[in-house]
Amino acid sequence: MKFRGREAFTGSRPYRLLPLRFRRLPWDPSRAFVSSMSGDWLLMEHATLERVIDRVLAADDPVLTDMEARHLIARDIDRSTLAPLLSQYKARKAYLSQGPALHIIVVSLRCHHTCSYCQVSRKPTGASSFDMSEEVANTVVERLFEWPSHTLTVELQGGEPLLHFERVHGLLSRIIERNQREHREIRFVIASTLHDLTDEQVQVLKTYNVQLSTSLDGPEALHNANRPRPERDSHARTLAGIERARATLGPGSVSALTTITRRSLEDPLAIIHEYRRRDFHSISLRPLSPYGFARKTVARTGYSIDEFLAFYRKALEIILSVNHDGYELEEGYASLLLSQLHTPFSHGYVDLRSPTGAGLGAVVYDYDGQVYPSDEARMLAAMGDTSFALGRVEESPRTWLSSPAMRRILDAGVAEALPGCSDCAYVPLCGADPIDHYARQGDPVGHRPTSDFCRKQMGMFDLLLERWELGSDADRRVLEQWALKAPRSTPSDDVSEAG
Amino acid sequence: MLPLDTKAKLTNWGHAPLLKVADLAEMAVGRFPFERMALDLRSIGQKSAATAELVGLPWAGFIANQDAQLPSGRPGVVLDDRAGIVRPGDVIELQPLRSRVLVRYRRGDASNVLFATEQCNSYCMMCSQPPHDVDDAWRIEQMCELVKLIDADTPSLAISGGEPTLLGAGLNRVIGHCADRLPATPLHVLTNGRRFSAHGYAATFEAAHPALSWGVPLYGDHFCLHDYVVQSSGAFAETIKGLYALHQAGQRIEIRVVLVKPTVERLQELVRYLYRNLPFVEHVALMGIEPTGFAKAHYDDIWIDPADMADALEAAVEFLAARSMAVSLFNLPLCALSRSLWPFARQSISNWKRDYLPPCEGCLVRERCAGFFSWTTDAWTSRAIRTITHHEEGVSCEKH
Amino acid sequence: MGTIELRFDAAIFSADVVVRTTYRYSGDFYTSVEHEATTFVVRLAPRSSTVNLALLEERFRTDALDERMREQIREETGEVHAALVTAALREAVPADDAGPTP
Repeated sequence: MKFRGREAFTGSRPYRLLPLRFRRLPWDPSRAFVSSMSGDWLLMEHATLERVIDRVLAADDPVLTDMEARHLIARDIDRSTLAPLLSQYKARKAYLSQGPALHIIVVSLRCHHTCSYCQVSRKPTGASSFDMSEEVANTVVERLFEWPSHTLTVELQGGEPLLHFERVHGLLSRIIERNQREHREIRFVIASTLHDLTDEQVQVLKTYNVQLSTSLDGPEALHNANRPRPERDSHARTLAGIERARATLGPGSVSALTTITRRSLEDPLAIIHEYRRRDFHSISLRPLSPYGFARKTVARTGYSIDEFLAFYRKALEIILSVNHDGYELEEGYASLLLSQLHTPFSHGYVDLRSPTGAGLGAVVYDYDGQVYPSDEARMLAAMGDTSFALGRVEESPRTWLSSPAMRRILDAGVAEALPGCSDCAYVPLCGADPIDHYARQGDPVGHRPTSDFCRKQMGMFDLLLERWELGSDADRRVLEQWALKAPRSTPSDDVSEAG
Repeated sequence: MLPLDTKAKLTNWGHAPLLKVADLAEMAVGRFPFERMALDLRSIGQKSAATAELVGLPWAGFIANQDAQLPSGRPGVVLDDRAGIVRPGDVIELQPLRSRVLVRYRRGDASNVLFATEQCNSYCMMCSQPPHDVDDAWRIEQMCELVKLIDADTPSLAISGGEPTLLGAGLNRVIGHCADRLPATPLHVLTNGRRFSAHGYAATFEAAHPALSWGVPLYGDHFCLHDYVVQSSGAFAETIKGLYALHQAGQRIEIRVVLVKPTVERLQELVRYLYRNLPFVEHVALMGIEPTGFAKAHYDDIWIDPADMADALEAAVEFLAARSMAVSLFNLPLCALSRSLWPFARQSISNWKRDYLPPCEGCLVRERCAGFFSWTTDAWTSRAIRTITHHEEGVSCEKH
Repeated sequence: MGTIELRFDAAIFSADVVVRTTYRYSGDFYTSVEHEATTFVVRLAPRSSTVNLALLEERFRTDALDERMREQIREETGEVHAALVTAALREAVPADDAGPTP
C-alpha cells in the first residue's frame, strides 16, 4: 500500500447544502450569521455565502471546510456523515424527552402589595377565599406524580405564598411523603416577596431544601415606587427577608428578579449596584409583560421594546465592567441566550422552547383547582379569557393534553413552522410562545413584524452576538462563562420567570 | 527504559506456554496453579536454597542465573538479566526458536497492554506500530490465557493493536475474561472505532466490564483531514458513527489526538468540534508523536516542533478545560510547554520505552516530566528542550 | 409620504419570494402585492410618520434577493430537513413517553 497525498481524500462528489438559515449582521451588513438546523453557526461574508449557494466557489476553498464542520454543507455525502447534525439537533431539543418537569402551584392570590404593573391578579391580604384549599392541594399532589418526568421542579407562588404558609408547609410535606415510594428527584422553589418571613418558616424551608425566588427592583426609592405598600417599606422588608433566609439557608439560597418599569429605564447603574451591594451574583432584567394589571396601566408604566433594548444595552456594559472589576455578576436572560449560542445543549427554561414549553414543559395549578399550561394563560383567565384553560385538577393529565386549549397551543407552538420564524437564523436557538402572541396580538400564531416577543428576541440575540464578536478577550471570557454556567435540561433544572 | 524482552537459554520445554514468574510469596498466596508458574530461583536467597521438597512441586519450570542452578531434567530458563527485566509476578512468554523471553505482563506497571492483533483497517501516517496483514487470531486465546495470570490488583490494563475490533466477537471474549478475572482493573481499549459503525456491534459491549473505556483517535473536524491522516477514505464517517454507537451503548470514551502537523493546523476547530458534537467524551488526550514506525517515513508531513504549537495547544486546552471537558497532554516534555499547560501534562510514556536526554540531567522537573520515547532522535526533538535548573516562577507552587 | 411602488421581474423572483419579502415590511407599512403580466408590483404605504423611509427601495430589493437565496436553500434542503427532523424526533420521543402515565 502506498501513502497518498491530501488530494486523494477530498472526496469525489460535489457538496450539497444542508438546511441553513442566515441573517445579515446589523452592525456589518456585508457579513452574515449563518446557522444550521441544530443551531451551530458561523459568521461569514454574505457574498461568500452567495457564492457557496451558487456553486461558484473553488472546491478547496477553506470556508467550505468550516461550513462542513458546522454542518452547513456536506461534501461528498458518502464520506461525510449526518450523524453529528442529528445528534446536535436531539441535544438541542432534549427538553422533549420527558413530560412537564416544572409544576407551578398557586397557593393563594393574596398579596400585601398593590403594584401597578402586577402580573398576577392579586387580592387583599384578608381575602382567604382566594387560598388553595387542602382538598385541591391534595389532588394537585396526586396529579403531580401522574406525569412521567423523573425530575420535578415544584414552584409555589401566589399572590404571596407565605401569607398561606400552612398550605405551603402541607404541600411540601405531602409531596415528600408521596415521593417515599415514587423516588423522583424533586426541587422546590418558592416565589415570594419574603416580607414577614419568620425564623420558624425558614426552618421549614430548610427541612425541604427550598430555593427562594424574590423580586428586587433596585434601590429603595425605585423598589418602593414599583411595589407600593401602605407602610412604604417594601424594600426594607424584602432585604430583611433575604438576610433572614441567607443566614439559615446559605448565601446562594435566594435569587432575585428585577422588573423593569418606565422609571427603571433611567438608571441601570443604580439597579446593578444595588445587586452588587446586596451580594447577588445574578441579576435578571425583565421587561414588563402585557398581562395582569400591567396591560391596564401600560401608559403609565409601559415603554416600547426598543426603549427596553436601549436600556439593556447600557445595563450590559455596566454589568461587564462590574465583572472586569473582579465581581462576578451574570445577567440571567443573557446567560440563557448565550448558552444557546455558545453551547450545544438544551436549556431548562420553559418560555423559550420549540415546541413550546406551555403544557409540554410546565403546568400551572391555580388556587381554585383550574389547570393552565403557563402562568400567562392563568392571568388571561383571571382577566376573563379562558381560551387556554386546560381543565380542572379532578381530571387527568391526558384530558388536559387533549383539550382544545392545548390543540390551539400546539398549532402555533413550533417556531420552525411559523411565518417570520421559519427562515430566521436565530430560530434554532429561540422558541415559540403562542400564548404571549395571543395575549399581545389576539392570535397564537402572531404577526412577527409587529411582535414584541420577536423584537425582543432578535434585539437580544443581535446585541449579545455583536458584543461577543466586537468585545475584548476579557468581554468574551465573561460572556462565555455565563453561557457555560447556564443550567441545562435535564428537565430537572427547569425554571420559570415567576416571582 | 526497561525493555520487555531479553535473551534467554531455554531447556527442556515442550510447548512454550505463558508463565507466571513466582517467588515464595506468590506460592503462598496460591492464586495460580503450579502448572502455570515458573519458580524464580533467583528470588530465593542463598541460605534458604531451594529444598528438594520445593523443587519437587509440579512447577511448570524454573528460572535461574546459571544452568547449574536448574533442577536437572526439568524445564528451565537461564537469564542474563542484571537489569531486572523479568521479575516475580510478571507473566512471560517463552520463544525457544529465538531464544528469548518476552514480558507480557509486568507486575506493578501502570502501562500493561494486551496486544490484540497486528492487523488494522487504517494506515495512519504516524503509526508507531505498523500493521501486518497476517492471521493472528491465535492471539485471542493467548490474551485469555494471559488475563488468567495477571494480578487481580493490577492498576490498569490496555488492549491495543493493530485494531482490536477486527477480532470481532473475539474482543468480547477477551473483555469478558477481564470482567471475570480483573473486574476492578480499569480496562482501556485503543481502537479507531470504525467497526462500531456496523449496526449492533457497539451494543454487544454494554455492561461488558465494570471499568471499561475506549480510546478513539480523531485527527480532524472534517473527513478530508482525518481520512488523509489515517490514509483511509470513509474512516472519518465510520469513526464518528462509531463514537455515537459507543455512547448509545453506555460506553465511556476518550478521544486521542496525535499532534501531527495537519491536525495541529486545525486544532482549535477540532476541539470546538468535539465540544459541539461529542460533548459526552470524558477525556481528551492531546499526544506528541511517537517517532517510530511509519512516522519516520513522514517526518516532513507530520512533524511540528512543540515549541511551534504552543499557542494552539494553550488555546485548545483552555477551551476544553473551560467547558469541563477533561484534557491531558501526553508525550510532551515540560520544557517545551508553556507553564500554564504543566498541570495538564502527564507522564504518559511507558517506562519500558521512556528515556531522558542529556539536558534532563539535573532538571528540576524531570521526576514529573513525560520524558522521551527511547527512539527519539534529534530531528524529533523540540528546540525548546532545556534544563530547568532553578525555581523558576511557578515551579514550586504547581508541584502540588 | 404616499405609497411606494416596487416592481419585480417574475422571471427572476417567484411569488413566494416577493410575498415573503413584503411580509417583513408589513409591520411598518400597509402592503399589497399584485401580479401584472411578467411583473410583481409591491405597494408600501407607511403606517405612521415615524416609519424610517431612508433607502427603502434599496433595503427592500436587498431583502428580496436574500429571500431568493433562502428559497434556493429551501428547495435544495427541504427534503433532508424534513427527514432529519423526523429521524431525530422518532428517537427523542418514544411513543410510551410522549404523554403522562395513566
